[in-house]
Amino acid sequence: MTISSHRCILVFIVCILAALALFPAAALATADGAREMLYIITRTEKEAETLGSFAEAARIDYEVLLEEEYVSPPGEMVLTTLPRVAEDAKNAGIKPFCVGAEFSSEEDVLISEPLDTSVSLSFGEHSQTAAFVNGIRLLTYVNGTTEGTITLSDGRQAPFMVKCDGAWYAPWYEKNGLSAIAISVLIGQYCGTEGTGEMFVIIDEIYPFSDLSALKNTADMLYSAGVPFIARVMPVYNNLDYPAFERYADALRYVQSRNGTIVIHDFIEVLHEWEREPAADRMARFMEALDEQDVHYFPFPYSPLNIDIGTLEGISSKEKNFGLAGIDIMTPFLLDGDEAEREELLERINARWLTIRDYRLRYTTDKYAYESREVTENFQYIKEEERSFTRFFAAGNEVLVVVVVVALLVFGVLMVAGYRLYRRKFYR
Amino acid sequence: MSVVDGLALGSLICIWTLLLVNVSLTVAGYIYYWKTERRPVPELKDEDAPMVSILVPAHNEAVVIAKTMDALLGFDYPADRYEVIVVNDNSTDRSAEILADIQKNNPGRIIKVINTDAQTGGKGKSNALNIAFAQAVGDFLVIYDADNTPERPALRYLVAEITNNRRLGAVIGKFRTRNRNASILTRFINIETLAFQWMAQAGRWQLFRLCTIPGTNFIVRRELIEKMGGWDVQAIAEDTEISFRIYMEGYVIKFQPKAVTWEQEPQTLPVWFRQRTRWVKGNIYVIFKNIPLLFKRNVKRIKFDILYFLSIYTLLLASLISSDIIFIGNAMGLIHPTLAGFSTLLWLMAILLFVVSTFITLTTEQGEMSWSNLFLVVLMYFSYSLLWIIVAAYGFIMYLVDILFKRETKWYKTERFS
Repeated sequence: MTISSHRCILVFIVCILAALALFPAAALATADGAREMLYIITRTEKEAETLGSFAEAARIDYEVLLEEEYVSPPGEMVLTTLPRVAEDAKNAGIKPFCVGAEFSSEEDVLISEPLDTSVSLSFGEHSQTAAFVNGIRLLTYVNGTTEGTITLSDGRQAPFMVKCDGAWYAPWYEKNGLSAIAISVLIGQYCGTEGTGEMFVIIDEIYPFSDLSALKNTADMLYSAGVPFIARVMPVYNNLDYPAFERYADALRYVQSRNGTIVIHDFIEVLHEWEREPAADRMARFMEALDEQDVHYFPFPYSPLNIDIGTLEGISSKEKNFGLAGIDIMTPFLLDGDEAEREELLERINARWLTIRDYRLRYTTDKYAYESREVTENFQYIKEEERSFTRFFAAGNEVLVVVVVVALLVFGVLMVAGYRLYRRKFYR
Repeated sequence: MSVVDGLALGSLICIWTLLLVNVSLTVAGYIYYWKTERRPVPELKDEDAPMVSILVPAHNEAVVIAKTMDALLGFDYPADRYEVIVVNDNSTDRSAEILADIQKNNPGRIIKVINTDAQTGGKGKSNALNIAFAQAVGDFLVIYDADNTPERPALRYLVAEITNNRRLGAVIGKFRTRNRNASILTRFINIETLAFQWMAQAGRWQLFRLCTIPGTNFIVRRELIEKMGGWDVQAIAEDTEISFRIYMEGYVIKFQPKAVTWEQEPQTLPVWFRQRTRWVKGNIYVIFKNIPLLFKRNVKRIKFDILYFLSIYTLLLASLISSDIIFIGNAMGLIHPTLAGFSTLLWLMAILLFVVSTFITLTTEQGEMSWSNLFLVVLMYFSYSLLWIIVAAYGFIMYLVDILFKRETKWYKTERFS
């Protein structure tokens, strides 16, 4: 082989490598025609989880990239807490949505040093009264459209966020409260969906071993108050023929007859899982068991933003009615505590004038009647194995018992006689 | 039905069948015990006493030979009517010296000592017996192992029985364990030998007029050995071999439990293991060699013996091993037999039956009917009996290996304890 042919091969390899670098994964992702994916790029999983829950509330599909996995901006929509990612995105002609306290002043924005102060927030139709915040950074100068207003205790004001030409900035947000709602709404806007959003009441994490009578009682209570609700059940994969499961299903049938919408919690991968069965198979088994028990469950692709009633009470609205926030919100209805506590909780939900929607209406207008079913009480927990030759052995057993008893009797007689002979022979 | 189920079913049938056969034999043996207690041994006057040759093969027996000779020379039998022929077979210890001394100290007695070398001897017990037989002048041959201490009347009883009945080709006596208190192993062996003799020897005699020569403490007609051309040097279990040949000549072998000898049993497990492996291999050799007899007409009696030993060494062994494997495999979750089983009560009763049937044979001997022996019998079920399975399996495999590689059968001499 000549030197020139060597060079030819080298050039070819370099060309292939260059082509691979020039076609990032994002280009491939858009090619399939689906809606643009939002990429959430953060340093920690916890941050990603929080931002992910905001995106879900706006019904946005997203993918998470942690800093350690990040190479270059993977798509056209990037929500990040990392200045380096924002920089790369801008250089690549992408407009990033920058959230969190890590960003500092840029050409279009000036951002203050961290402050410890109490702040009030107003956003759209809603406002949240003053609360003390550590290390808040404020937008002190912006060149763009702003949304929301932060008011400090000394009366100074700053925009909650700004939409500049090159990037969006929201240097402060919290996991809960109005700032969380605001970021969720803004993520929706960033992704180009302007949803109206709905509010729900949810009874979450219902296990077969939860207090099922409290569940039924709560369902009754909410039904009488005209409050539809979501009942999110935890999937179980084994012992689906046990009476405990029958009782569980019975309670769920009762719940669905009381305007409760049954949805299934996502599969939770348990650590030290020794079972090799794929998650999808296990989930399918659970769903099949629910089908058999006439429990009607509904899809739950996006989890609404979880805001408890106490937080909702701290957010005021222009009208007496809380109104619609632009994203989906769910407020949990806890089963623990006694009936009086649950009544008080219902009272508070009513008092805040929330417009609670029936989640089931997204899929059906059917109503479900409840019919009690008998639970198998004398259930055989340890299944008796199929046995072969049972009759042969049963008969053989009887015959042999008789034979052995006869043999033992014969030996008994011989033993008595032998003992006498022994005494005569050896003790004379 | 799966293969595992088939195996389990076959095993159960075999185990129960043989258990019941053995129980029947024990009952029959006990009945025979009663009979012998009532009936005296036929009388033998000194003047009618025939000439008897006592053959003693001995290989490195210096530790025990003097005591054995004492007992042999002390028989209640006319001294001029029997000779003692010791084949000191290629010994490297002081046996020759000791035997020479004994000869010198008993000038009036007929003692023949044949010292062989590596050329003429060292080829096993059968070969040694053939050498002794060549020198024997008696009408009857009596064989004792070199570690035996027969009781004084033993010889008279054996001769009295055989001369009393023309149909008897041989008469065997009973052997007891001399060193039974030496270790827990010898205590087990003591129980085992008693149970075995009352079940297999007395039981078979009572039911089928069948016995197997035990290798020591028996008398046989000279003409029979002559007719057979001596002992088969190939057979390492020469006793079973001789027994079959006697039956084929139309004679029977009788068990006379009053003719007693005391012998030394292995005190340690390795010695026991080697001895028993030799027995197993030897018995398997004889059984397989004689399987064609099952299809002959005129040897009805031996058929039971061949079938009995065949089923013990093949069927029972295979059954016990496979049922154990199935049990362990099932416990470990590796195999799942679906076969129904017998009730736990029945199994417990079966164990009780084993204990009772073994213990009852101990009531025949002074000092053996004790609580400690009862406890030992129970213990045996869970220990000694399991060792037997291992020995039998090992012996069987060794037998097959010998055949496969055409290895020569080797006579392992049981080690003696001083």
